[in-house]
Amino acid sequence: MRGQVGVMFEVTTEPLDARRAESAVTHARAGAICTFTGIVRDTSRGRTVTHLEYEAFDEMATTQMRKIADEIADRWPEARVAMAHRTGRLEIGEASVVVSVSAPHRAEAIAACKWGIDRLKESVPIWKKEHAADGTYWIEGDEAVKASS
Amino acid sequence: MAVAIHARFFARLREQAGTDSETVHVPQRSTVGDVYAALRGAHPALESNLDAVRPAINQEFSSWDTVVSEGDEVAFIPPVSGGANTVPGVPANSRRRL
Repeated sequence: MRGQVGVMFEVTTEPLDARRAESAVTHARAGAICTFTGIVRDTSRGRTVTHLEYEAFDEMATTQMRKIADEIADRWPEARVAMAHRTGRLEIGEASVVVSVSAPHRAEAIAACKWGIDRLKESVPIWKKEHAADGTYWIEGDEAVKASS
Repeated sequence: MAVAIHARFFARLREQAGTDSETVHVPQRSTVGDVYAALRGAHPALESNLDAVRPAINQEFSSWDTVVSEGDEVAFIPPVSGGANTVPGVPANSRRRL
């Protein structure tokens, strides 16, 4: 049962499609789908952001996504989960991450989706470099650290 | 006898090291912390605060005290973009400064 919960894990340089993630988790007993989409915004900590670059440890990132799906399976055995994260250069307004969860009812779908994105942000090795008006910064948790390039 | 470790660097640590990977030789029974210390010898710009680095052996987060084996891939990972710098399953007392 645990193995059926995670249905799609991707780290890709291609634009993300939330509908494709939703299609992957759709099934006959799923009465609810909750999808979180993270979007590149134009400001961060008071700075104007021109664009972002995401870097991943690809193999470990998908391994960690599978572990998060296992955590969801332990808590919401009827859920199905799809996760995708984009890497490379992203422009303002583009989607950087999609987590889509289906479940029989909305409460589980919403709770499991929140679990999925929160844990992804904590444990999946993907880094964000912000290109701002005054330079470039690696975003590490709550900190922005000036990048060398 | 030495063991060969495949070290990988990501994001800010990759920029500090000036490379994304290299092979390093360390004595048998060396820990992940020993591997990082050897790498810092070769790349002094590498982060000195171990609280700002997480090691992973063969794609699993590890503690600094874990002993490495021949052929291990040891990745050095800065905090990820959205998270608090905490790793479930890795006790805080396994973190230390060089």
